[in-house]
Amino acid sequence: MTVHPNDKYLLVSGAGGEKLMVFNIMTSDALEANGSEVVSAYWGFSLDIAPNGRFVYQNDPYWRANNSVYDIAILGYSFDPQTGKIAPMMGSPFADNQDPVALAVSPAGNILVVARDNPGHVASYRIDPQTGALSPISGITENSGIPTGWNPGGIVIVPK
Amino acid sequence: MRSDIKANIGLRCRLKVYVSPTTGNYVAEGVLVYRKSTPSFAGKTMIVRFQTLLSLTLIFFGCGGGSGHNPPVARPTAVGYTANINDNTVTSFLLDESTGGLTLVATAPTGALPTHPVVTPDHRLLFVSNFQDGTISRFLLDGNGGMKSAGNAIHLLTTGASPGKITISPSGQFLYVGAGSSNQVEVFQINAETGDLQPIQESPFAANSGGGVLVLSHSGRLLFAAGNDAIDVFAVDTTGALSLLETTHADSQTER
Repeated sequence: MTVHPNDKYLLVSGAGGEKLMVFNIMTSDALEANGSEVVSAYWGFSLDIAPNGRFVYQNDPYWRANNSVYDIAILGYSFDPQTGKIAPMMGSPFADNQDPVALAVSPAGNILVVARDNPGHVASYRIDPQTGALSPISGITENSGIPTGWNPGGIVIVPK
Repeated sequence: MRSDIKANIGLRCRLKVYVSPTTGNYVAEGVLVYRKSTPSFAGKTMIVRFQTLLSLTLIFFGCGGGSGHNPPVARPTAVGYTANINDNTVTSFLLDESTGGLTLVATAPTGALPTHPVVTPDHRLLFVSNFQDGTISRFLLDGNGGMKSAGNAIHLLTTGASPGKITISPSGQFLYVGAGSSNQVEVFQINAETGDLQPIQESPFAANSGGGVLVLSHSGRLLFAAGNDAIDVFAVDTTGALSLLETTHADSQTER
């Protein structure tokens, strides 16, 4: 669950089944279902939004619920900050065969850092500024990246 | 034939080095920017434009960096932390956002089953929720990935509660802890200097959703708590206290 940078939307993963749902945060402070939703990761505990508010990322460590295909990946979604409409990003899912368990967009919004559990390490992807698509940079090959402890299930990144 | 090489040394100089098509000598063109420290020039930026013959060895020794001729120098712009659930540790690392390069800095012990790390807005304190032993670990940060324990982990008010996701107010004054197993949200006041945590007077607050997953609005006015087919919306007042505004049915067992 995360709040959009413009404070107008709440994104909830798992709501309504294996879905990523968008709620409008009304001026009255009440929540209202936006009606926009996508099929999301089965165990996607980690969800983050780029600072531009247009790209949403979620870890997908097991499989996608819609087709039961074993699909370890990072899911990317395009988001319209004006309407709250969410849709799968072109190129998504982005294959990641190292059990991504947590992720965070860097403060500048150009890097996605992924914590993975096979073995415990952190790797990075570059974010295309136009489309949000991911391309591997560091630690994407097996057993590379910087080591962490076992099962790095939570991650936070702040400006230096 | 012209060969361009750019070398940067932060904000101080930007050089272009090439072989002169007429003389064959190495030529450096650039702008040197620096700040004078003498009282009469204090705080003023001096700019010098130049063109001269230079040795490539001297340039790279003095400036570092480069493009294709020597390894890039990492310039970390961000610091990251992972809570390592099965290791009972937290790891810190540096990120260079210009390259995506990562550098391991340190690993420190936490309580049992650490799940969520959060950093205060001034980046001086790190808190980690420990699911199994119902505590919050505390660290003082040096801004470069260094972590120093701020003392013993703080126990939640509710015995047996397992802290889930935690979040910090934009002011950095309050830490919100979802004690999902007890259907409560606990609120602590943060001592910005020591990292000490003291529960505010009214804490804990009942959550219809269970409160296992928490997130604050960026304004800090609203707190959302999710779980058990529901999402709670709390108003947050200036003392950090919560008032439940509504609970929205979300038709799922696993909001997160």
